[in-house]
Amino acid sequence: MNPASHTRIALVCASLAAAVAVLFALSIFVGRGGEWLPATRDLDPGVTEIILYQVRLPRALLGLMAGAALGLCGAALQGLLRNPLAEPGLVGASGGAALGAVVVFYFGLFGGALAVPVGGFLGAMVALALLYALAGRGVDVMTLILAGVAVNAFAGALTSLALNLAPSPWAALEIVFWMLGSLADRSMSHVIFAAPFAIAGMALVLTSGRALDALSLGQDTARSLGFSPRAATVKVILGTGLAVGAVVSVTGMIGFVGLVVPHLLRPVIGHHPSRLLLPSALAGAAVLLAADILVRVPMRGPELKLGVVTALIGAPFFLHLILKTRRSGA
Amino acid sequence: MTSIRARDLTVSFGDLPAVAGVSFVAGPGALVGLIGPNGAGKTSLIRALADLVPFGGAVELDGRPVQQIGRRAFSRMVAYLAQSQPVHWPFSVRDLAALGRLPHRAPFQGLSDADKAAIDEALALAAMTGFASRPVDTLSGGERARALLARALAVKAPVLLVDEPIAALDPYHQIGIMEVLRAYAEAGALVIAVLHDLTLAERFCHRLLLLREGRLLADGPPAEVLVDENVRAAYRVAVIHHIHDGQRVTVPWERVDPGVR
Repeated sequence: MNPASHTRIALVCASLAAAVAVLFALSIFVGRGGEWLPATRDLDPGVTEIILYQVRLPRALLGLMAGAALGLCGAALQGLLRNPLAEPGLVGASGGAALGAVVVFYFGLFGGALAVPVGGFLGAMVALALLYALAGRGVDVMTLILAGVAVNAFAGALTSLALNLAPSPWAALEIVFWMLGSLADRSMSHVIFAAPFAIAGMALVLTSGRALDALSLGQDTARSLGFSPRAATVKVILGTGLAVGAVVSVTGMIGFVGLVVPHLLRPVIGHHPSRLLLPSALAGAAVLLAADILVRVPMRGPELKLGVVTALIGAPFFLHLILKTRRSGA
Repeated sequence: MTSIRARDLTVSFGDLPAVAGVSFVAGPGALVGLIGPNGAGKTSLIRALADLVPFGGAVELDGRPVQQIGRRAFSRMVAYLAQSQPVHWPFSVRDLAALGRLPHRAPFQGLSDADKAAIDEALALAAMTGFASRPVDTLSGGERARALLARALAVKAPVLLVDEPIAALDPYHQIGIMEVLRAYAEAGALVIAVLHDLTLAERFCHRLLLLREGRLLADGPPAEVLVDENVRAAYRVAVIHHIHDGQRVTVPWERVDPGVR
């Protein structure tokens, strides 16, 4: 395997950025059943404008943001935990966000369009605080993973309890549908709510690259190379909690993007966690935008939920990756 | 050119003292072997010197307490190679060695020409140039040990601390690693290595520190440290000496308390 040079990474990033730009444009112009707007229908210019700016643009922006956050945080967590199976959900933020959103649904706290995202984000932050309390001041990888599992299990149990006790089948259905994950019917206010946290979280994660490279050699060696494993852990966990908590509280659960995207890139740009961060953010955005275009294409039946499609494509693909890795003995 | 001084150094795990008051000074140009039986405190001592565990007493580099030296500056002065060092991703040997340049690089900065030269030099010294593009997980134990050593050499630190660099290697690779450590020391660095092989320690080290129960039992040239009395006291083993090419060879021969198993 050739050592990945900086020019190669720059080339990969440029290609991915171009793909994101194209997919972003497609996401704005492609509609239900693959209909091309504004050309195919003879709509009032005012209606076209509403569709483009108030329906499609927020959807494309959310796809961009959510995909980038999931891809970036997946790559960073795999680096931090030195585990190729790590994914953004591991820190409990998405489980916490789901619970927070469900609590809002359940108690009917529909105090405005942003009630669910606010509830979701608060849930994510509670989960993060719980993770910190459980994992303590240490930076032991195993403790962190186990604490994440515990937080997710607890949030999952409470979410199930809410479903179990749901006041009406309609409420339960609403909860389930939200949890499946989707970018449809979101407004600009959703984008504006999630963006600051997502951007701040991603910026925090992006600064951890070199420390993650050093951590590939274990904590002692990372320290001897001048990095604090604890600072790197705080950056990645807090950054992931903020970014993923913010996007999940707006989109619902979207699985497999954060897990699979770094694996897609490793054969091309190598295993350095630092080199994977930016390309994973771009590839995550591309994958999610593409998947979100795909869910609109079927003409009949209810629109597929994005989380369902990413899992349907992601799970078999991940299995393929594992089998391929096993065959090559790596 | 950096010297290291330990003053009344102590390391404890809870109530258990691992290192109990060790003092010594070591200067550049020397390969110093840190020897002693299992549990004598060798790893704790070398980790304290690398500022990786909390310790009592003082560790000074060129007269400055390590606490006064910033983390980044310290990481350029002291390179550390851990015992059974993990490598969590299948980097190429060259990429692995390049991690040794992290203390010299600013965030988001690529490898400078000086970095590249240091990596080439480290790979050459560790005889790994021909393996540069091989993934680490395809190497044999001996090649892997040399690749890890190349990573530590690439730091180009004036002080190199290595914990059991030749454990689990065949004699060919053991001697190869010892030659590299000695060459790095003779080029002007201070190398402190935790070792179990008394024969190789005597053959290659300029000086030995013999630890027993967290204290220095002996400190000096190998011929003075590896006398029967010291080895018996530390290891409960009798040694035999032999002269080969004018150099003394020490071989651990039998346990002195054979009734105990």
